[in-house]
Amino acid sequence: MHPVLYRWHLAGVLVATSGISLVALDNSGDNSDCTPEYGCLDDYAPGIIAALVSGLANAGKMVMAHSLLLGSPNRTTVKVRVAEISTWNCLVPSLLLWIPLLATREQQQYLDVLGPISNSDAHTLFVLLCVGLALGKMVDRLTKYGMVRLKGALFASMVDAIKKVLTAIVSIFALGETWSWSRGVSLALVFIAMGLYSYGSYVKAKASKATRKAAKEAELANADGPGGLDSRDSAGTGPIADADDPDAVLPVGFTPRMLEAAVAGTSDADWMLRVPAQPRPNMRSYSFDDLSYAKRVQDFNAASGGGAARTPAQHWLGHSLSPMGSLYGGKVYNPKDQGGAVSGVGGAAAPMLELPSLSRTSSRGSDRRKAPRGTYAVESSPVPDAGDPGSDAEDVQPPGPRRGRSSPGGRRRRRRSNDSGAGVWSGALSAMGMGGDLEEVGSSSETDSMDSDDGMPTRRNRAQSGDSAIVSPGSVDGRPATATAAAVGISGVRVRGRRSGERLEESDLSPDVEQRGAPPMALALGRDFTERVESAAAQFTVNDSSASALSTLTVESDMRGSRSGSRLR
Amino acid sequence: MHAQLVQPSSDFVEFVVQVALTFFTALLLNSYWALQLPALYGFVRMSASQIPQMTKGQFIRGACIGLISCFDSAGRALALNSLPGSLFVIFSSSDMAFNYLLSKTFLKKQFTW
Repeated sequence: MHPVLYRWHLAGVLVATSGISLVALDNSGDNSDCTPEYGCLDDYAPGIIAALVSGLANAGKMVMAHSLLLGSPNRTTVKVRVAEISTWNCLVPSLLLWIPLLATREQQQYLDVLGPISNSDAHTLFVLLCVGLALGKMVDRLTKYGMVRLKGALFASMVDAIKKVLTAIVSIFALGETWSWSRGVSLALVFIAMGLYSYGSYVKAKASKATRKAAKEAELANADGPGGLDSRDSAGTGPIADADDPDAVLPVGFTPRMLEAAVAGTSDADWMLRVPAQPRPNMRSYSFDDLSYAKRVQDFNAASGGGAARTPAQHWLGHSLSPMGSLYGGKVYNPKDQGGAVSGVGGAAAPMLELPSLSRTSSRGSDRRKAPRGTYAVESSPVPDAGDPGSDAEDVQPPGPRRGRSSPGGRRRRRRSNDSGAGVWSGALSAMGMGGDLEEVGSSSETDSMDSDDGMPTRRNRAQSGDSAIVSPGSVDGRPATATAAAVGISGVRVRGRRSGERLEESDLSPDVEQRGAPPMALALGRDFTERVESAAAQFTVNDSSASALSTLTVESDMRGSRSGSRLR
Repeated sequence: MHAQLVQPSSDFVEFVVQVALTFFTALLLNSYWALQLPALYGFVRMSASQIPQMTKGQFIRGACIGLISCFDSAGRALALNSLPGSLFVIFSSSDMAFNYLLSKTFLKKQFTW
């Protein structure tokens, strides 16, 4: 807290203290009016000492009560503590004060003060006075400690001073006490002290509120700040404001310093474009379902030369994919965090996988509700495959019941899948008649081409990340599946995951896929390319450091199972 | 007057400070426990589930508050009877200064200029 916020509190204390000192130093009026009843000011010394001791004891009592109330966990407990303190405050003196009373034989003065017992009116008045005094004191202390609870010990003392000042005013004007300028000034100073303290509390509360508001705004700014998807997108495509122009509108999450670093080309510029290590819960969602993002990425790549002379598939799958894609590298995928990489056998229903850039379906639409928890499978398309006929796929299918196969043309109910993403490859390749042997993968020199991700998240990733951000592109199975799906989808291979071996219907085809249907993948890119894709995917799956051994083994198992369940139709 | 300080303690209040029924007044000021204790008991019993058990430290601190209150009540009664009302109010307001010092010392509150 800034020191200036407390100066009013201290000023109030000093003003009140100076008022006391002023009265103590001024004895002119009282010395001239020494009365037999009250004596002179010099005779007040014991009373003044007693008052100071009382003030010290009262302060110590309130500070101790404050410390006791600070540890209360809830409001009810605080109320009880206040009552307990007030009870302690009266019970112990009621027991202990009998000792000095009896020691001084003060009880013998009772009749001397109140007169003979025959004067019942005086005694009745005294009893009523005692009862009123006790009740008033009870209310006084309860409110005092309630004030300690609310505002602290010092503020309670200040409020208590008001009561005392009112008592003094009553004493002076109603009971005819001797008036002096020092008393009047000191009383005024006590009022001023109260005002100063209250103003200090007001300033303090106002500053505290402003601090909380600023902290909240800073937190919100950080949520959309460096490394966030919005800033990344803005950096890639948005307008770049002039760092020297204070009125320039910066992209979301950018600060002038970051912009300067970006312009200067320092390492900070690199840093600010990176993806955060972990998604923040309040991170703004970003939809990749529109085609504009893909177009922007392509434009960016084209502008940077990275995407020149590439086919669309190569554009997505090529080594170091793109400058934009390289920004997403290094993300480690934890299958357990993504909920379901530890999969069952390959015959399980495969979830839907849809390349975001090729889909016009809203992520918040019905497909989103069907977002799978499992991994992906890319299935063969009902579009007649112009590649190698499905004999290869049939060859690798093990004997036994063909699970997931229904009557031709029948619509299947989609199931959530625990299928491994490795089945994606076998299914996709089987669809193209290129059922590759997984034991061969990993030997290709092209496997490194999958180390970089295109940054295009799968629907599953978006769904499982709570629609928070694209932060998990490095999925063991999802990433290569996405990339392959992007490539294969061009040739008419349906990208949506589905139960392996499941027959697809034309109505299930994405319009985009249908529009882009030809030419087939195998013809467009050649078998060699497909093998490279498969090799890269398997290599990625096996080499991913974040996957556990169990999930890796399961992935391999699912590869076989899913591959065997694939069909070429 | 100072010669009277050597008087027996029983006569001290009456003859030196010229105050009558000082401790009796203090005792009366703290006699409301007869009203508050049953109310506190009922309140605690009513919301017993929400109130944690009083710890030993809290008990000691409560007892200390009561003990300090003895000096507070006695000194207050003494000053109230020996000083004019206005002077008593002014000097008893010194608890603000003490409160500031004690809060800064024990509660570590920040009072800076």
